[in-house]
Amino acid sequence: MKKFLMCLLTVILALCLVVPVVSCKGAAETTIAETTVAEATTAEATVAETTPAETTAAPEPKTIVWWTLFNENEAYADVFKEWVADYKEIHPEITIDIQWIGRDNISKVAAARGAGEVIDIMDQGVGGMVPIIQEGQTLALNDYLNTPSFDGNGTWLESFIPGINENYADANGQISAIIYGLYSYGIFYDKKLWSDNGWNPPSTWDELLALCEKIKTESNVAPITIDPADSYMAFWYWNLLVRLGGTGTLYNAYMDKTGEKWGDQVYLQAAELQQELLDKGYFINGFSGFTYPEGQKRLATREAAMLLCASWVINELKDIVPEDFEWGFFSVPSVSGGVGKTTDMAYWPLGWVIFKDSKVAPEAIDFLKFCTSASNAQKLAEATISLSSIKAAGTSPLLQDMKALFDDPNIKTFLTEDGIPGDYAASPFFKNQNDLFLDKISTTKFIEEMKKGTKAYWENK
Amino acid sequence: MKKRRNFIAWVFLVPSFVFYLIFIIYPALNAFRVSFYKWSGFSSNMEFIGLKNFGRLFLDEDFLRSLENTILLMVIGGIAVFVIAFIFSVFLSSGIRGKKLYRSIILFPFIVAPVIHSVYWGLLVFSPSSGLLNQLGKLLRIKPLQDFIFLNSKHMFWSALFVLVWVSVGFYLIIIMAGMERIPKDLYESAMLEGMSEFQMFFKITLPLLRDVLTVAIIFWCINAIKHFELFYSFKGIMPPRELWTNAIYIYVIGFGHRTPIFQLGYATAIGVVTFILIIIIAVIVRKIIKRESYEY
Repeated sequence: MKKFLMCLLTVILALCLVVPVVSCKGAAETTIAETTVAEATTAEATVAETTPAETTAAPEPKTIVWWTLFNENEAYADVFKEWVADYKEIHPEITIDIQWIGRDNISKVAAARGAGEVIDIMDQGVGGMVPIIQEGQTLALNDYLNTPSFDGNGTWLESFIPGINENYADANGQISAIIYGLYSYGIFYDKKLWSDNGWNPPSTWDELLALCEKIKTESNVAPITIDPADSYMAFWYWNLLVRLGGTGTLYNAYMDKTGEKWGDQVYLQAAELQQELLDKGYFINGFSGFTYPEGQKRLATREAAMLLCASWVINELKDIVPEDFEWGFFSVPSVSGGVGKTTDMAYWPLGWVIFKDSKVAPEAIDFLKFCTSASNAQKLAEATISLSSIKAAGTSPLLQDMKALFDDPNIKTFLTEDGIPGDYAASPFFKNQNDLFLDKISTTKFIEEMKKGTKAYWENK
Repeated sequence: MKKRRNFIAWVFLVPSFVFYLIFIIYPALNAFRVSFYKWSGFSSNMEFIGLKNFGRLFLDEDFLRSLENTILLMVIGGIAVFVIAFIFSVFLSSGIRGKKLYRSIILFPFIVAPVIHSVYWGLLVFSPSSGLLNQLGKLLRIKPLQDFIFLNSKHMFWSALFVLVWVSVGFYLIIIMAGMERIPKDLYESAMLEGMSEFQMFFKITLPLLRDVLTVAIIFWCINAIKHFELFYSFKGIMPPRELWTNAIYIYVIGFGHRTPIFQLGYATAIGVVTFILIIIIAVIVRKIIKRESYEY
């Protein structure tokens, strides 16, 4: 009897072990390489018009899986849910399964897809999706972009702000990301505080310096505030580079594998202009000890007069600003002798990609077209206080100053940090920029370190 | 009979052993393999690059800085934790009333989530304008305290280490006290009769008899210090500055990026392998330094 019980126990234990191992192995076998590629499917997919009115007899129920970087309690989530509900009314056979992943979306998508999870669409800051695009995992969208938009007034591509999607095209001009919202950079201030003190937005660098000196000497307010966070401390530098050398200046330095391009005068000059602000004490006292977002809060509490940041700051501070706070914005001033203009506007976009192996690519395209209709895009822009990528869409009244710049026919958009890739940005760019900003190295040492760091970066590539 | 006992032992050992092989040993061996590749983690495309990842480590200033932080955390933090834990244990073993209450209070920070500590200390205590310490300095008119910036690039590592030590002391206090309570009281009575001072009793009786417990506690601290992540990562808000990067944080940053995408999983794994080797070396060194002698009592 004892022997029988021991044998039975062994069998049960063995089964407990084998069953989960086998099912894990089964899931692991469904790798990206082995899933039936939608390449043939998407090639065959109708590039022809897909309008909401088109229906086939007894359409097959399909599910589009969408992993988003937003959490369910955010303003973006409310709009996404509305889109999904509205689309369901038009296409009852399509279910959009949104997963609220959070800011680490890209990392979790990578892990999930590696384990064989089916994901059709993901969204993220588009720069964050560049690695996944470069790996060839995403669907090229050029053909789809040349089909009519949801609103039916021109092609889908024409409905976007010119160049917004194209800036993320690869070397062959293939566009893989659809941008649905963007934040732009500039100097934010409180119009009420400024009008009370008789301060006016400067349009040149010299005017900015004079204004900062006036604010510092004639008031208790610090001229400029900042958060001592990685990319935030670099805002001044790369904006100044663009004003001095035009768009592409930082990118060109990145592309020079010898690093010697950093020896050009423009790079040192931008560092020296930034250093001038620091040396003259225009940044708020104690900023180096701030924990994000303490720096930007100082704008809301009127302890600082201005902040160079992206327009997400309005949404982030909306619950803190006093009732009479009036958001004002002006572009980073032009620099004497520089080729860049105040209409050169950097932007940080949010966008979608569709995975190449998605079995519902045509349906996903139709859904994204729906989301980027003028009315839906405007709904998103107003609710989230962001700019829309869609020309015809309006935005929140809080962003009218910025919107006016984007409506300017002379506008030239460029990518955050001039489009340098994330790994180069992290090191050597932010690393040395932080050291410069925090007064650990001089401007000339910064240039030397950037030369060395760029060379080492390419050697390790 | 012996064969039967062995068979029963194997029956119960084999499942755990197989589980350990599959979920611990295999991933570790796979990590060694991945460290020889260049890999983003997004696809199965992996490029074999040999020892290049390891060679890169010696020239990587960020890695060297994070390694330095890790070693400082382990050594300075460890000394602080054990000295304070010993002081508390001597105090609590002296027969005072309310020992259990004091022990609970000292242990309490350890059971609170590290992120809560980061928020509390980072935003409420160390903040330069509204933080407790600077405001206290302002109230008491102690200018150096009022103006001291605890979280600038020079001081933030030490501020974070202070918090980590404060959090950790309770746990090691419990371990040390458990060891101290095993020491027979008559040894101390005999020592007192012989005329030994408290100081001598501590070094001649308490410490030697705590050797086994201390070896385990120190190795435990070293391993936790080397793989420390949460408190330092969250200490300065959502973007940990380089001054707070430890080995574990750097592995995460290189593997996945924080706000900026990096995705160099091959290189991150190489750092992980080096970290693993470091842990082994330290464990061997600690065991050699604290020589094991068995005391029977």
